[in-house]
Amino acid sequence: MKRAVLILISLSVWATAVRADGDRIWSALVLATKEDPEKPVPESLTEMAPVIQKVFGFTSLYLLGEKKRNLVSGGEEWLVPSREFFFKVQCLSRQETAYNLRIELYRGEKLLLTTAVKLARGAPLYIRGPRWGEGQLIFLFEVQ
Amino acid sequence: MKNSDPNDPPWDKTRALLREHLTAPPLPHPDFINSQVLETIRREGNPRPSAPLFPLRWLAWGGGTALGTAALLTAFFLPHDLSRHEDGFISHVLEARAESPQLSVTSFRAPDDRGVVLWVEGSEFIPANESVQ
Repeated sequence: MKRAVLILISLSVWATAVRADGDRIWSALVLATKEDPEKPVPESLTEMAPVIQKVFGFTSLYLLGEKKRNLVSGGEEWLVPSREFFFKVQCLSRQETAYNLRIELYRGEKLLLTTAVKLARGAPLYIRGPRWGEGQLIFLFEVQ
Repeated sequence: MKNSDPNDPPWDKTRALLREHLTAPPLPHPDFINSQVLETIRREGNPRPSAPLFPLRWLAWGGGTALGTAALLTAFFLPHDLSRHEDGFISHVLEARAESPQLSVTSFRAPDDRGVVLWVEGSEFIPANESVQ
């Protein structure tokens, strides 16, 4: 009987951990290019690659940098996926399935963009950045 | 030592003498003893309660298994299944503002509601020889 109780508790803790594990924000700086043949998509971008291809028209992706931080309601985090571009993310509130975030995009010390988004788990935010050489920079945010 | 046979005439004689001269000792509390004997007879005469159809142990295991299955199903299916169909699982841009006059910003939903896009126009071109990493 004790073993059954232990198994139950372990299952509950595991299930809770699986559900609560998504309370992190992941940001990435991606270079998208058109190349023939296409380059293999980095593993962390496989879910987003079809959207990037449809929306931006690029097929080859390079992950230039990524950062992940915990999301705490009322908290503020700096995400620095590269030395050139970085983000200030303020978690305004948390809903059952999403977070209300205020995101500021900086290039160096210069503030380029301010946005308020309701970001749901598994539904990323794509920001079209500047062109870099032959490619396009794309900023990604996802609640994981 | 010789065993006595109850059919032997000496044994009959002894038994007859005992019946004649031996009397039962008086009981100290005959009513109490009588009630105790009657109570024992009554208790032993009643049938024992039958075992429950599902013993408690099996009920506990059944409940535990059901809870475990529910936890597993919730963990595996709920986030994936609902993420594409409920509005709560769709991202929205509530507000977007470019901080530079040469920039403009438009937002729209990604195909199949698989995210949201901020389309920024007017960004400064970065030559390939400049590092962004």
